[in-house]
Amino acid sequence: MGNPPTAFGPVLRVALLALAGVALGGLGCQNDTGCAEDGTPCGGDPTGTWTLNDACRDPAFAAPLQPTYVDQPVAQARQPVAPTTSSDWCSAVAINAQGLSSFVFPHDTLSVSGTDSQVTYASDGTFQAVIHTAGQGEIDLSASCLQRFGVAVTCDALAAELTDYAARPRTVPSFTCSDSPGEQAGCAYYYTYSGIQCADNGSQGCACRYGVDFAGTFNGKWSMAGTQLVHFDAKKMLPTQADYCVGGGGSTLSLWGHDRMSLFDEPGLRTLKLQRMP
Amino acid sequence: MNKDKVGLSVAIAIALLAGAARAQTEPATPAAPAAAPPAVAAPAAPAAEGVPSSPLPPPVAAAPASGAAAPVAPDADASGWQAKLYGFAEIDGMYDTTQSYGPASNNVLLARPGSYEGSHPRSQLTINNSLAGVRLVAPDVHAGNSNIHTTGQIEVDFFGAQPTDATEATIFTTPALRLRLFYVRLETPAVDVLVGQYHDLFAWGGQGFYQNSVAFLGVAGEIYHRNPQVRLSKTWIAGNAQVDLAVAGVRPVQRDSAVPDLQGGLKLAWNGWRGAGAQGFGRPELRPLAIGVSGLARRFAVAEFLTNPGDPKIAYGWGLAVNAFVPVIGARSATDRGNALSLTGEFTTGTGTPDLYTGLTGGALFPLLPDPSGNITPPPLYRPNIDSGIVTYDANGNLKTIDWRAFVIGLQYYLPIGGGRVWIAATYSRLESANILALTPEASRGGVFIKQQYFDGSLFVTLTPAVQLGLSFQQTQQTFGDSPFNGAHPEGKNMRSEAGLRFFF
Repeated sequence: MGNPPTAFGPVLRVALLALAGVALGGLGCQNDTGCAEDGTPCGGDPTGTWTLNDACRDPAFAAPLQPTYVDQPVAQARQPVAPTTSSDWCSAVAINAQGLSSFVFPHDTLSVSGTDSQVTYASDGTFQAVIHTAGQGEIDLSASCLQRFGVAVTCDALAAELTDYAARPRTVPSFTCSDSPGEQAGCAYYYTYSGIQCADNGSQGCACRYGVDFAGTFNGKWSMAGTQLVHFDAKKMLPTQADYCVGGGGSTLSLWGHDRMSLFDEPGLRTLKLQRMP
Repeated sequence: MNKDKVGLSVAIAIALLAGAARAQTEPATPAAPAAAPPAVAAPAAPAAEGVPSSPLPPPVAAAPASGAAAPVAPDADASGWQAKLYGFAEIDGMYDTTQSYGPASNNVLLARPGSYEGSHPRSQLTINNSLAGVRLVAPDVHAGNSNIHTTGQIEVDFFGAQPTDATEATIFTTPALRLRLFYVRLETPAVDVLVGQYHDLFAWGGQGFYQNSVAFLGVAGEIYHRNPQVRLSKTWIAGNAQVDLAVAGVRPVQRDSAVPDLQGGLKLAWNGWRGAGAQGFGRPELRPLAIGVSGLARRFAVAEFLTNPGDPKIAYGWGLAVNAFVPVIGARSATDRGNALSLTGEFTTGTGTPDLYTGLTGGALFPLLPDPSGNITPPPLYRPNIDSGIVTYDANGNLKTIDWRAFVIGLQYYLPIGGGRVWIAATYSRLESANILALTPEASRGGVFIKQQYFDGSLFVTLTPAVQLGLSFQQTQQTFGDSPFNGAHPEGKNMRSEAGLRFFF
């Protein structure tokens, strides 16, 4: 505290100016939102069938669910809860002499793509959205993952097993899914895996790559509220809102998730640019 | 300092320690450390930091013996104990463009772009960085022709561990005390001995190398840590040259390793070349040109990756740090520092050392135990006996340490206004891991970051000799491990504006 008293007028002025600058500048800071609403909602009549022209999706990531919490007893006082973990290195692979009985194909966020992504708003108040997403997935299955059931598996054999496994019909949880746009409402989850290839990873395991396609079907009722479309999900989920604009003389439809909601149950999907089908 | 003040200081010290002890009580049972993050999401950042106090207590004004409080050595002289209360009251306001951080913008995982937390702002106002401490000087003890000088320091702030059910209001308005420093130092003719909790020797903590920023220390990418330790050091002075050599046995990062960490360092200083240097939001001091090299070695003995582990898996960690303080343009004195320009730098590399960077795990976790049948109830559970983010198990069940490498560089320039009462500082840092991605299962890579860049700019104003204002802009950018849309790794970014006011006492 050895500073002698001095005139602090100039210093104080500098401080106050800087403080005001930081306050104003700071509050003006804003992160880039990758999929910001890039137009003005204008409403219009969306009735008809629309195909995908463009889309914007944020790189959504959801940490794998923590199965260690399932059926665990409630933590007692001073007892640690189950530790948070990452996912299983082996991705639930189970392979024995009878073949592959379990596997989860990991992949990152998929791109919205394909002209088969369609949204139909019917005049009877129903809608159907088929959103096609695609991308590549990969996994490096270690030797210990592949050998823990007592069988030796070559990478070629593993690729064949994975291909066979991917082709088997699955149910979610009790619906048989297909990729038809006429899919029943409950079947919203349908992944297909293609082009599965596995090669030696150099340490007796297999590095596998595959294509991933997902056709999510979203059905239900729709209504208009000003420049918003309200989608009532047939699966009895809560309704969602999208800002929209029918433009180009009725030939284009822009959908933006209202208040950055995800569109059609696709995590991170903020914008769809559609064009009317002839 | 009169007798009343000494008594007051000791009473305050006792009160602070009682509070700290209550706030940081260990569970009665020696359970394995819980690796789960706090349940309270609001102030997510762990361990925000204040500004370190001076490295070692200078002698304080003569004071009479305090009587009963002083353990009197048989050959103690009669000058008595000295005690000095010090600290600061501080308030900080910060505005962030994401909801990633608690009070400190350190190395915690940023919210991902496009997520709710990554798209919306947060503002905080906190006094938790306020700090109080007591420096103690015991009577010198004569040993032959020289003295044994004994000093100690107790220091607390308000970033103590909160219960997991603490509310946001509780955290900010009734914060818990945190013990920062608590040590005794014996300076003998042969060697100096420091016993207690002090800044880590690794990266020569508390020795003038910390960055100058309004951001709470440690800034992103910077080593900033305190640990219980036993340190032996020796200082040689020849003219303006000073050489410090030290070695320390430090609390093991994993108690079940059963072996203390080992840290060592060499510091060279040239007292003929001095410049102005402030650490964190602290007051500038006159510091010499200095360079420090330090290292650490540690052992891990981690429970095997099984539900019911047998013997542990063993791994070793190490670290290397190089620090420098360079007075590019010197200062005449600590209070006459106009036009002084100083540079600070730190380079660190190592493996199994993320705990020494504030809040750093990179998002790394232990993997999930396989459950190939998919129907084991309850699912198999692995309980690691070490904190998350330091080591993990790879796909073949091998214990691996996680690598990190960083550099931090900072400049501080004292404007020729009022003898340097207004100054600006800037910091840039880069932190990256070469193996965190390979040590994280594919499905979880979106939850780790592989690279972080940080920069800040700060303006400091000494309003009065006891009151200091700081303004700052800080930006952190992290590169996540996944590749959405089969493209580049996504990047998260946070911008922070911060203003702080500190009253030194």
